[in-house]
Amino acid sequence: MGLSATPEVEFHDIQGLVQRGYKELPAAEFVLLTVTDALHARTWLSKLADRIEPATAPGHDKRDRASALHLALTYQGLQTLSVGKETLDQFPLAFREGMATVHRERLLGDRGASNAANWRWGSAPCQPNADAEGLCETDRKLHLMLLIYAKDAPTLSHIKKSVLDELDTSGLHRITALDTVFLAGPECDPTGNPNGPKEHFGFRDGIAQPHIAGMPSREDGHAVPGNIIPTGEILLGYANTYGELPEGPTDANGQGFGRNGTFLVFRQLHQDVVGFWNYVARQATEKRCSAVELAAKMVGRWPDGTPLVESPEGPQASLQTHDGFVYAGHPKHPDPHGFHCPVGSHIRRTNPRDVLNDDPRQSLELSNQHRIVRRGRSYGTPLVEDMDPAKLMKIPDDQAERGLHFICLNAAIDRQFEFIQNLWANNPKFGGLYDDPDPLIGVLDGEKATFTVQKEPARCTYSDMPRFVQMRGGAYFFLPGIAAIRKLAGLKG
Amino acid sequence: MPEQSALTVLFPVRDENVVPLRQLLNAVGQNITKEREVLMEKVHKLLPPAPARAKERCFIEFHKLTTVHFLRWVLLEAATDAEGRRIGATLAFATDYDGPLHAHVDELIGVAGAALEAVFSFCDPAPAPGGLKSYLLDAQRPYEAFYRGHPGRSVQQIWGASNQSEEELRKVLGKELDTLPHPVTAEDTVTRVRRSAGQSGWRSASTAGEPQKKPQLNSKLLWVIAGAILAFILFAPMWLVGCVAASTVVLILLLVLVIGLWGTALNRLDGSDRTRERELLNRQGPPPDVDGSKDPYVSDRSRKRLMIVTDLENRRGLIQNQMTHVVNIKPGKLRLRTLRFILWAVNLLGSRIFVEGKLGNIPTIHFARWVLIDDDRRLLFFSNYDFSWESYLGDFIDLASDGLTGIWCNTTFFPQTRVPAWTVIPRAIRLLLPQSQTGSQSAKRLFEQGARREQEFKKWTRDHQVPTQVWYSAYPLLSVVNVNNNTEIARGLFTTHTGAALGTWLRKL
Repeated sequence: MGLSATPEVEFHDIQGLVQRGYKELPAAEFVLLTVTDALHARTWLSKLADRIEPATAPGHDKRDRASALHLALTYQGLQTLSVGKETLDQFPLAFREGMATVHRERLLGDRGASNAANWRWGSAPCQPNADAEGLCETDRKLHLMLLIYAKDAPTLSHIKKSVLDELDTSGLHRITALDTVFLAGPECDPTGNPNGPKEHFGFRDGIAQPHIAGMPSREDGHAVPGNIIPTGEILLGYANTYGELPEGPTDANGQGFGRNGTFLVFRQLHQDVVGFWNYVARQATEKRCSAVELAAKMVGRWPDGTPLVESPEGPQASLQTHDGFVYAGHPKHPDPHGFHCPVGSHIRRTNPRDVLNDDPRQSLELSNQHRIVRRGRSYGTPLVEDMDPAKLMKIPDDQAERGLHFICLNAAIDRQFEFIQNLWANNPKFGGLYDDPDPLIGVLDGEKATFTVQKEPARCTYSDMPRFVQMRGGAYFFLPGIAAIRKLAGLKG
Repeated sequence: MPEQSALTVLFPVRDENVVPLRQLLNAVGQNITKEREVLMEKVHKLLPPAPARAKERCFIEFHKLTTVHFLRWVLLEAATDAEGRRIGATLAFATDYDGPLHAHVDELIGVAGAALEAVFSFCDPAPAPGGLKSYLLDAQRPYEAFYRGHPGRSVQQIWGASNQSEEELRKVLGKELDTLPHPVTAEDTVTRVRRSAGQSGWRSASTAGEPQKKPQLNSKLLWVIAGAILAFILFAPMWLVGCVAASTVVLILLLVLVIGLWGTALNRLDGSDRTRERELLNRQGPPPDVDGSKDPYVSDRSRKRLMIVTDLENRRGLIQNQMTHVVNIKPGKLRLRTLRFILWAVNLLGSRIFVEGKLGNIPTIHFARWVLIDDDRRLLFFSNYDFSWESYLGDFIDLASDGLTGIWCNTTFFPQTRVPAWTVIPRAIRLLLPQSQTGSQSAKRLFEQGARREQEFKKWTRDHQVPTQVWYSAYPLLSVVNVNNNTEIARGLFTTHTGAALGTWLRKL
């Protein structure tokens, strides 16, 4: 087959979202659509295809981008648009089944209030039932998702109007629109702007990103050894970490409908901000420690983004987006045992770098087989405008709906996203621990979750930790190459 | 120290008994936990309802079994061997138990006699009244290889109902830690946790079993050997030195030759095996649906089997999973001999080298066994492992692909494998060398194909998995790492630690 490790990447055919998260376009909305008439929808698609923002070759990045448009489809969407059975069957099982199955609910920890029965979208309507599994199925009516990014609110509404105005006559129907918010502050970043994006708990988000081989980008992860993943870890049609083509509708040469596409995982995660800071403040008072420091231990970074392993004593503005570090092999603060950054902290377990086992080099290689490109955006008004933890801790609950539209891209949903959520985030035994799921996004089977801070002479345990994040809806999408969208537009039903 | 062993019992099942037996087994499985009940109801919807009479006899008080680590019943439905001959349905019963065998079987019969009789009455022959013990003992099958993730620890020591298990000790010590004032010195911490252990009845380290230590070539012995060689070279007549050197070279050359010829023969066989499999596929056609089994030898090629298998995984209330995997051995004596030899080697490595809870570098396998069944026509694999199937398979592929490929390349429809016949020895030497200065882990592999064909290998594994109708774990909430860590806590409790060792022990709490 002769698959190359650093292949020629076809930038013009790849949706730009793979390459960049559009930090310069802070206004965004995700629109969920159902196809009511495939014939008309195809006409709409053919027009849309020309407006989709492609990735750019090195040196050709636009300076004045005011907006960007992207399209993702569910398995049912591809079916409805008459993609042939032979092509459909080539998609991996996870994508075909969707997120709401017994098997996947257990893997992902979508139980109780997070169960598909209680989702706002993504699952077929069914009897709400807090405890049972597998009652609901994936929503067969959810077909497309339009991802719209713009530099400001007026531009966003202008684009929305131009794309969605004649929706009903285009054979499409809007299921729901998911709005977003850009959170920043209270401190500034080195350029003098409010530090962001943050998520609702008040921490800088979206820092660690893998560098996709052959696809440099200003916003992408740094091309340093240990952070570069093969192109096929994200894009179909290219060699993955095993030197194979990812499963999907491509032929032995990587050509075909799937080429330059990737799978987009979307999970609307509600965040209980008051619950989080209440718990942290209560525990901190009990153990006579600083609440912000405890919260930082849970995350693995200070609120401004500074990694604990780099700066255990406190935040440093110059390290806000720093990501080129390891744990055990850190030159200044080697941290194999978690004394600086706890073993169970969110960032250490969702990307364990060199501490997956006791062989740092092997660890780094194994960790990199489970990387994702993250493109999430927050939604809902912040509890406190400037995201100051000191204020977040004191304010009464306003019961408002807020959280994160978690979005990630990967070529193998089961080996990448699901693996991270299941084995690293939800697993209470991660890193040799006993009852510790991920303090932010993990789910523990029993009632009693704990968070352990390793220290000398002996560890300190924070017990009875509730769940701070609940699922509100989600689906597995395919983010096709642009030629594939044109192909979809031309298909005969 | 209790000896952990594996009991495997196999009985033929007549065709007309398959359906009622499956129903009964599902009902037995239902009664392990409430979660299981909810789950099995769903599985049951796919099956006709079990007769009420059978339901009454299927209740086993599993928690009363003190010798059982893991237990399973699996119905292997009728299938076809690699030469097209029919293999009848078989019932497999397996336990990972604390010896001695007779006491274990006596306990099984004492706790679950009625259910055992009910289940085995569907087999051919059925047990004679009062003859259950000899019935079971006579039907034992030896394993080719058996791996233990925490050797030497009894169920009681690991978990147990008594407050003397190592998990209970860890909890007692943990509670004490939570009440410690801050700041506190390491010495005070040890004094406090020791006192709390003493109050809970832990008197001395003798209560904690010593886990097996990795047999280390002690340095004294190495010096003696080196000295002997030196003395030989210095004092033996030159012709004798020359003779020994020459015969060593001849021996190595012979070894290279034998392995090379063996590998070449296997590679040639692989070609004809592949042709036969392709022809068979052409005759039998593709699986009935997209997720069905590619292997026409499998008894149920439909997507339904896969769905039952996956729905049995990641049950609530435990962090472990099980796998039952059955596949035909490729025809021919060479295949069988190769398989036997590799499993012999795996067994040796598993019981002599990997005794610290890690097979390869995989610290998640409690027990695994390989058994040749149906007159050596099929290979049966049972495993009890931590966490998800995806992580288990991933670990296997990333850390133990040579072992996997070595074993299962001798079975049908395994992803294409080429044996590096003439380079096995240099590759093996490179494998054994300490971390090479350059190059990644991938440079250190015997086989580049086989299990390294990640997606194909995972699909192949799923294609040959069989639903395990009854599965019981004695300590469902402990990982292998937990079990081994608990033992180290217990062992170190009354040891006098100094310096860094004190910190190391305290970190385990």
